[in-house]
Amino acid sequence: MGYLWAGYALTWVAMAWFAWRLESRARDAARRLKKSPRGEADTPAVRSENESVRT
Amino acid sequence: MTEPTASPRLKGWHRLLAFLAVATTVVGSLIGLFVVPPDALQGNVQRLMYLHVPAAWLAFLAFFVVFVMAVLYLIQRDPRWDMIAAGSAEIGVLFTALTLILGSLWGKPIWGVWWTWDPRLTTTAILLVIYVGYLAVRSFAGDPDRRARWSAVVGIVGFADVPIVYLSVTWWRSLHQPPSSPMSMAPSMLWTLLLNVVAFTLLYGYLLVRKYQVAVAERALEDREAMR
Amino acid sequence: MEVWLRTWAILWKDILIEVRTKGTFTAMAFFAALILFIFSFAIGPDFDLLRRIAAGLLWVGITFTGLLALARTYHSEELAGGLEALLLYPGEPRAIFLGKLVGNLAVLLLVEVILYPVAAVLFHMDLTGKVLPVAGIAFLGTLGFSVIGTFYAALTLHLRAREVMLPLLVLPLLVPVLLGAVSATAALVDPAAAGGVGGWVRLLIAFDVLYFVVCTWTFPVLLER
Repeated sequence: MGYLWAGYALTWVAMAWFAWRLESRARDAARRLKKSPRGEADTPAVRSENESVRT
Repeated sequence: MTEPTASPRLKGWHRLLAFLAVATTVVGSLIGLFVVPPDALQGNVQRLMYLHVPAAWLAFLAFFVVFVMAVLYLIQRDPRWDMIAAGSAEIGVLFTALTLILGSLWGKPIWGVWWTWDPRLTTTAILLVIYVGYLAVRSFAGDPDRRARWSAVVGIVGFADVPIVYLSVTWWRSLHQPPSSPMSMAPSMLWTLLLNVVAFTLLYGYLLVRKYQVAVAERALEDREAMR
Repeated sequence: MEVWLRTWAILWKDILIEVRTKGTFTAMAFFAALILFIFSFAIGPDFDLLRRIAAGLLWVGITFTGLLALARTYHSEELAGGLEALLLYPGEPRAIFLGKLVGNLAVLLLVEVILYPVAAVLFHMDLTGKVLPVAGIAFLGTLGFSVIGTFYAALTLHLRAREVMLPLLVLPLLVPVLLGAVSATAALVDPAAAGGVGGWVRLLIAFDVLYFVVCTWTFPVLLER
């Protein structure tokens, strides 16, 4: 039954790793957006979107 | 170029989506492993089906989304479509690779070999290479416009090929092998399978939404750098 | 009408360049034959085995030679300052694709005219009385190869690592063409091979028509900016 457990373990590890990497990129992007000086690119729409990036 | 924005309606949903995705995936796996009865012929290894089939479904769904987004992008040239396409492709590659590995893990104890030229697995393997090509084009292209345009073309031309590949491999295999009979499933197995399909689809939705948000944020950061 | 004039102009320009520089076609033909030789050595003198897999080996040889030819599709334009120079002339940009397509198709078909007899000799393929059908399948397969290849050669022109990207993008899409051409040729040539030719021919035709339309239609997107 090693194949069965290997399959489930692999799936869970892969999906968890993928999701965790994605979440940390999101946190990172939100942090950098907060820190960097507001430029012309800063619009209300972008700001509200970035609020949602930080869960 | 106008600043890409996301519809504010996504904001409130995504937490609920994430929760549902994780919950259904956990429940689906638990039921698949411990609750539903094992297959009469194959035994417990057959439980891999509850991961393998949903992963395969997602592999093809994700590429279909890439295709639709690519067409929309070429027509409207809105960078939002391109961002969704890229996100879907990255998620799709994960599930395609998973499908192939799970297929091998399932096949070895049942058929004795790690790889059979089963038409669906073979098509999935080719899909993986097409995905890799798509992502390689994105990573090797120069500027965001070219990246979006060229990968859109690759996504469209590649997706159009998938049904043709499936058809041709099926014919090719039928020359050498009688068609395999579909597995008959008890109702409880079917329901477990459907639950896992829904779980994986929710997971895909959550990951895609998140990827899109990250893409928008990173694009805004890039634009700020450029403005300096 | 004007599109065809442009197509012909581009094709004729490439033919003239090829004839005057005299090098590449001969080298390509020798390269192709060499691949078949190497297959013979790698597989060994099992004549029955070679006969059974002859169609497959032949098409692998055509594929690798074809990739070389495709990589050079826009070579003369690159030397002269890029595809953009061609675009400065008014008129239909798709004519560039069509001209290059016919050019690649012609080169590959000429290579195959040499390669098929070489394969027949090396692998003991019996082609007597079947030359026309085999040639027809070769044409359909090569057309599919050329459509996809000419298209992606333009896409990868400005891409980093393009020598690797061209095969990476082209080969998965060509699986139906390869399966069709090899299976149909084998069914015609090898008495022991299973399967009918008609279905594969229909598949090849459908593939060629579909991708000819899609690639011709989408080509201008590749030329933007």
